Amino acid sequence: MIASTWSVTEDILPLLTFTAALVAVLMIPVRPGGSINTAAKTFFAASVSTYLISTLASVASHLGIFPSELDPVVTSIEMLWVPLILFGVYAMYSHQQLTDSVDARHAVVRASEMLESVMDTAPAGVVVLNDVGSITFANPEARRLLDMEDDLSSEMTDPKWSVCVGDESDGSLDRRCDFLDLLAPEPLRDVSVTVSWPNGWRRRLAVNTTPFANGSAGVAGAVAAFVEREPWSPPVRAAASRSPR
Amino acid sequence: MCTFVTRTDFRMAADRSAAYNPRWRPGGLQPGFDSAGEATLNPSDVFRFVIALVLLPPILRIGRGIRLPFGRRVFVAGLLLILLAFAVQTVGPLVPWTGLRFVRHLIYAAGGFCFAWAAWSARTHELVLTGARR
Repeated sequence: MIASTWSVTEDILPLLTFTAALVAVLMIPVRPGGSINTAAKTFFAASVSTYLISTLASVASHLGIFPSELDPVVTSIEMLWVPLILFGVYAMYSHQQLTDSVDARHAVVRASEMLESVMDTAPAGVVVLNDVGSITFANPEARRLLDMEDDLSSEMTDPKWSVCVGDESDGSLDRRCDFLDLLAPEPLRDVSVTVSWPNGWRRRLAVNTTPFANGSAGVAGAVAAFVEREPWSPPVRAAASRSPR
Repeated sequence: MCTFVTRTDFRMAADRSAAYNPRWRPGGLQPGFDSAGEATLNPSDVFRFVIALVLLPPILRIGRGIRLPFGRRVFVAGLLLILLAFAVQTVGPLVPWTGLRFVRHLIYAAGGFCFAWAAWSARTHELVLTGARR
């Protein structure tokens, strides 16, 4: 009888601590975007419960009120302890990873929307150039200054205008149909660029660029921002029938 | 209670500890001992210990990526304590010391305490994140 009483007393301590663990697990709040989800909480609660069941069975055995037929059941339940812990840890980990990816996606969308609004409202023209100097993106002001339609696809690959870096006053500068001359390993500041149209329209732009590094392969492209350096120059040919936007 | 016994007294100690063992039935075999009274390992205890040993590395590896400030170390400590308790329970029949059962209960209790601490830490962390507690 003394031995039985002592055995029950032995079981009391882990019974108390695991009961506290179960209560603490059940009290963890589950919220959207939180650190733990219902699945992980359930697995943790189940794993703690397995030992609670084992301990209760032990106490009942000592008191002589536990049917021996259930011994294999208790033994089987004890086996589940570690797998349930693993499931709980994995459920918690995957939930946190999923939450992180959703948060990251929302952050990217927010940043994209903010960048888009900045581009739309910027008073300067901003274009993104690829590695051969062609335009891959232009904001509304850049489209206005370069007299491009909203549908850029054709005009970006085959623009109507030509570009030369520097003042065109002497007429000796090379003219190109892209901005390749602006692709430099270092950022450019306040570079004069003259854009000319076949009908004689001409614009002088002050351009700043920031290159995209492409590791050791050179420059992968650049972002170019520009403003009009001087007011619109009148057409030199009478063929100019409309004023730019 | 905690008495060292010699190998010669092992059978006697086993008989004495039989009353402590919840799986023992009057007239039945003492778990951990065969019909000849020789100490043997309990297959289910061995299996459980091996399972725990095998699953511990993935648990720790996955657990490393979990955000659970401070509670994670306590959780790992609880895991290791439970693993130790499994080991003690597995080799228990081969150790001629009747106090081992009490030690095993203490280790289980310490593991349970660690789990309670880790769970409470997780609860506090969640409440802080929701702003319910500073």
